[in-house]
Amino acid sequence: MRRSLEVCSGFLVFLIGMELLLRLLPTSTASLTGYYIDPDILTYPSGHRWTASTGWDMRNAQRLSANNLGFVSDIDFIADPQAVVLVGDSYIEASMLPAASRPGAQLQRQLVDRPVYAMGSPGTALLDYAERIRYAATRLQAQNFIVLMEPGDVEQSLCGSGNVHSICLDPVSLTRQRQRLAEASTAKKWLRHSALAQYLVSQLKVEPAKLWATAFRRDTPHGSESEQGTTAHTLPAAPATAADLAAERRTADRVADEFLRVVHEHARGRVMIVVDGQRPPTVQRGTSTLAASDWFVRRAREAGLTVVELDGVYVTHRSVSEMSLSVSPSDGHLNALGVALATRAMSDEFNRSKR
Amino acid sequence: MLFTSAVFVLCFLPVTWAGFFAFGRWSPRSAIAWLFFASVFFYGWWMPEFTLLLLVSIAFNFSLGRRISALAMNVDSKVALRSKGWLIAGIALNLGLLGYYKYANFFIDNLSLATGVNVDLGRVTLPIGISFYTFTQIAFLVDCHRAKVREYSFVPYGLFVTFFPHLIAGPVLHHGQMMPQFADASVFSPKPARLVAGLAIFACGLFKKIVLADGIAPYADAVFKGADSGVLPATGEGWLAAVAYTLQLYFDFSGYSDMAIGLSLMFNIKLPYNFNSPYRSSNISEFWRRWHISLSTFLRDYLYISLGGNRRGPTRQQMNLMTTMVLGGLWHGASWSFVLWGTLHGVYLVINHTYRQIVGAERCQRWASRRTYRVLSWGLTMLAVVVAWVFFRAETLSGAWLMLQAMGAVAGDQSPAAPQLLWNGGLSMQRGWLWCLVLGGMAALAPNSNVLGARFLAWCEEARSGVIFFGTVSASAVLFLVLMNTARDGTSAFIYFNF
Repeated sequence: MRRSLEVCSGFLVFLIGMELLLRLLPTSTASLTGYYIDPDILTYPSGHRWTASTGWDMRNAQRLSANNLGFVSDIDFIADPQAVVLVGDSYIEASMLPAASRPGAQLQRQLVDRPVYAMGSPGTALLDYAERIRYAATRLQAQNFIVLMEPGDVEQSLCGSGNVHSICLDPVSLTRQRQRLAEASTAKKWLRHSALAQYLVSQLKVEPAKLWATAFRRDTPHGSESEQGTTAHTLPAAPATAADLAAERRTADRVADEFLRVVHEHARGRVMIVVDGQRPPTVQRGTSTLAASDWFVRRAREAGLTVVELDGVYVTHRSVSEMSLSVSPSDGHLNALGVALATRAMSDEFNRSKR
Repeated sequence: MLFTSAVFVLCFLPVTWAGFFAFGRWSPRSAIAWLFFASVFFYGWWMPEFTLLLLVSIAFNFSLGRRISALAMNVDSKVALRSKGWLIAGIALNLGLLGYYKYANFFIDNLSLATGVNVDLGRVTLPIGISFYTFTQIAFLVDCHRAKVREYSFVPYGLFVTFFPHLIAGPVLHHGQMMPQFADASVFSPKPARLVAGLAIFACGLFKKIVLADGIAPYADAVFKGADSGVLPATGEGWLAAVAYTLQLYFDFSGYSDMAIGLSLMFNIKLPYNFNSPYRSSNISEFWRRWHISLSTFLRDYLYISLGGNRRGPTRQQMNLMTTMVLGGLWHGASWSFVLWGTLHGVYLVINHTYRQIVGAERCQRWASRRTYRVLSWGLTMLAVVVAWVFFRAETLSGAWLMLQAMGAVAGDQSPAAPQLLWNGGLSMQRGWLWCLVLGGMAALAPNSNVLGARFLAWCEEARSGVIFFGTVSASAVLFLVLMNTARDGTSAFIYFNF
């Protein structure tokens, strides 16, 4: 009995000690996302404050706060036809960058006379972006939109891609579906208040199946480097067959149909699509991901949208500087310098089309 | 198997531990045989192809040791002289084997470079741990020749060489440190106090490796890799990388040594300390008494003293110091940068000895009692150590030179204004220096794991309650650290596995 008591108390003391230690460190805290402002738009609670950091060693730790509508921004979003709405995913939220380096803040400094509403939401794709355009046009009377898309956004618009918050296309029939994220279970709601649980889930990303596979792997004497980390959006690099390309084109067409329908219905001013490029180029042209993206871009141009491709900006940068534009070798999001180049390209194009 | 891996902690260790004490209840010899078998399995898990080499080396050295010992104990001086002949042959064969596996590539590469003739005999793979088990066995042969070895039995000898906590990266052990423990009957029954203290020391080593060494490693890696590929670092990042590597290496290797000591203690076997807060040293001689103690002791006892030590005048002593340190550098790896690292430390030692001879021991002692003098001499020692580690870490001489150029801010206009290498690695200079400050404080100011471990062991041995409580805390910490290591994106092996 006494031994059992010592074992239990020892385990408990360890857990409490870890909890306290991790609370002192910048462990990610719960973001409490939910459909607060619209049934199809996932946001944080209004005014919510939380910490975001990356990896086991808690890199790029930032204190984040949500504005009145639940987006990460220092300004509240109020109805304003002059506002430029910047839409995208984690590239726009940029929770790993200091507030002043995030796309919304940098674009705001460049456009000067217009408020910039950065409506970024991690883990979303084009059809979710369209919902935010709809919301901003109808509720905030916004007329001008800039969408930052990555090549993977077209494929990620399919249901089940893991990058959908609500509207998506059925992968087989390509029909429009609504796939909202399930509400957190009671246990999860409790656990997300624990720094230790957050550390295991958000920082270490513990998954039993993956853990089992790696735990009993036969490493070499020089360690295991089999997992090189994940980029923000992993691009499949396999060369595509003609059938693959045709299928991707069908998907891109359907995504474009849905996206452009919403845009034409709601956007009264300019809509600019800014396409992220490769830093440095890693995916060959002709792969299905790029084929889908290229096809979507072509459709967007045909529909009268302005398209800015950042590939050219990156090539110019590489010719004069060795400084990386990505957050780190294992995180492909744009860093402060990359965001500066991208927002400069956005503002130049925006001002040109204004003239 | 890495000590930090789940397969080691969850499978190998419990099975080996339970088997050792289960066999121990039956007969000590079978327990020793079990541990020998488990240690060979541990080695073969990684490199089954080199297990036979290890076993042949053990069998060869054991037989030779018996012969040397038998001859050395003979009262007839002519017969005893033959012992020396066998000893020289044994050392030559051991060094020949080590030389082939460790230095063949280096020799051929340099031969090709010098002659311009492309000699390609294929690449020789270095069997892991060969430097350590070769030195362990050379020490055994010398001890046999010096008639210090009394007991001869193959299985305990095999266990002495292969005992898994020290097999891959030391400490380099002496026959006399291990055999009496294997002969002690009390070793074969489990002792909760030693198990718990061993677990706690093991957890401490895991923390040093998984959190501290691996945490600071990216700051060194990003800059050294860049310099090795020809990029000149900025001055700030050059210094940050050099200091970061200084701390990484200490926490990596002393963490490994703590793990080895802790694991061994779980089996009731005590290993000698390998580190004693080296970054507190206020002169370079003291540094070498505190850093990688088992290797330093080996080099002192079997090389420096054999060369004559300080017995043949100051000039000869300085030559002996240089020779010992250059060979010590070369032991770490077949590259000119290791030779330069060893040479640099040889020069440091020569300067230190000369200084002490000029100033005089009494005055040195008097000055050392002054705080300012101590701080200054500590600063100078650390500066010398950090600069030398640049050669140790850089994979190329040109990389080391670029690092030194950056650190000395002598690159002029070519020096980059911004820390590009850290930026490209997604690393922040401020955060890197914060890591250095915390780890530096721990290395230089906090009580070391030897002291803490010894105190905890003493407490466990006297305590009437609470041992299970602390055992559970330690086991939980071990499991958490292993989970952390398994779940994160990449695991790294110990730096000294390369040597």
